[in-house]
Amino acid sequence: MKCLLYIDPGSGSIIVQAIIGLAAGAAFFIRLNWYRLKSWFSGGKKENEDSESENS
Amino acid sequence: MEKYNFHPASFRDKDGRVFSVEGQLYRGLSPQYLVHYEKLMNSGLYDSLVKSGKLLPATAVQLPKAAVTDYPVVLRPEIIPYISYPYEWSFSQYKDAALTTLAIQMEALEKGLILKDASAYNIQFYHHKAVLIDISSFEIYEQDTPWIAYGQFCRHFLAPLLLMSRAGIETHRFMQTFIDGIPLPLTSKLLPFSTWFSPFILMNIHLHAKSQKRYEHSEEGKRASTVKMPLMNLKGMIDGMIRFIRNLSWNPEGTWKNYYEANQNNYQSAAFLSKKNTISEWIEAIKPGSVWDLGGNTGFFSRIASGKGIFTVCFDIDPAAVEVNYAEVKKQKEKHILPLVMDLTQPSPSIGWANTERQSMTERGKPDVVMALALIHHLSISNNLPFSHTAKWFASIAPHLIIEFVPKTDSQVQKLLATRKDIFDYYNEADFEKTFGQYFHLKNKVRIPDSERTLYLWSEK
Repeated sequence: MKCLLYIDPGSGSIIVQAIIGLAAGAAFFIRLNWYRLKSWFSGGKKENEDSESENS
Repeated sequence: MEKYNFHPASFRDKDGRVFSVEGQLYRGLSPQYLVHYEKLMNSGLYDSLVKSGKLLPATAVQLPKAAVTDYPVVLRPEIIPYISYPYEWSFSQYKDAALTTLAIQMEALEKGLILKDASAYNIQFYHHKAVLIDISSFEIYEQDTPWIAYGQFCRHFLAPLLLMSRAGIETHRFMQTFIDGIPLPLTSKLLPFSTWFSPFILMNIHLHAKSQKRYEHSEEGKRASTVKMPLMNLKGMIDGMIRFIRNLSWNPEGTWKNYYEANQNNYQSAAFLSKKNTISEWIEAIKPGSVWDLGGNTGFFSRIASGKGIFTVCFDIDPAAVEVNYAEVKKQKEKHILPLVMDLTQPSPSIGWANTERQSMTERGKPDVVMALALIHHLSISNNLPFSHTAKWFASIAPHLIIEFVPKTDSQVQKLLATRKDIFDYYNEADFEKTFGQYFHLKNKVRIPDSERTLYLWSEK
């Protein structure tokens, strides 16, 4: 399945991106789910409003 | 002898090599690459990227000759009228090239594919947009694998952009020296100390450079191939890069204002309007296929040609002028003009393997008209070039030359002579006409009103 790996990925580059990925992945997850998190903290009111407006 | 007439830059990736048949460029896909190509087409990624102008369209064709038996699929890409290289891009062009690459990567990940390379040479400017020209850059994404081309992206895009932005715009020329991108240890050394306090630059450049050194040729490094990178983390990293690069800026001190003011004042004057009309008439008479405007500044005169639908490359030494020009190209969505940074006293040379991989400025195209407006005094006086040299070079580029002669009495020439001894006895209209007459036929000559300058139209002998 893998194509010809024609560039050297560089071990150092792989390790650094794994570390960056840890922080960036968490930040990205929060950003994507920001509204859901916000509504969860505010007691789920927001979520209900959203789902109502979606249904209507 | 090779069976195919391969493009000299197409040797790295065996999955999709570029060759020409009877002057037409094709890309042949290898049998092992087909599964990836099918995914690219079936996932809708190809259509979506072509529609948004991020990927150069390439259609599958049947070549009649049995000569292409090694390639089960042969693609014919649309032709880019003038290939440009990263060391010729202004800051915003470079930034757009990087952002296009990242946007493609993000969309590819959504559709189960990934970019297997991130070379700046895979991006070209086509119809006012940065486009990816290499269709074989995509491969099927495998769960939890890291981005193989991350290091290449940092060397080819991030390092040059950061250096241009934080160390000096002139550093864009480094890409000409480092054909596989600027080494990160060098980038780390050249960036100002303050960049160590930016978590993004600290990780992607400074610690990245140290990590490369640490794991180079080491046993521990081998284990890196087993590192898992969940998709969410990979997307997060790409998203972070897009956000960071989008906010990168380069602000030449005061230059913007100077250019805009100059445009407003000069371009309304009688001399400018007369110059514009004369050039417009000459261009209409010649009907060129393409034009090169040498020392074209922000592209005012280039637009006389490009406005008529004639493809025009506007070269200028000043990255700020090219930046202003490119902003206009984007704003007006202009399809026929390409602004590039070029120092005419040392035009981009042929570089790379056997000096054939990246072609020189003049090998990449053959315009029908060269324009050299308000340029000759810079070449003759600032660079001591005799008329015989400039005439010979212009004649080697195009069959027609529109050139403006700026006499010594002109205030702009006086400025150049202010700090040096005038050793330029030959720099006068009579010698100019005599020497250029040895290389061209004089077709027309018009004095620009309210000035001492003259426009000439020369054609090949």
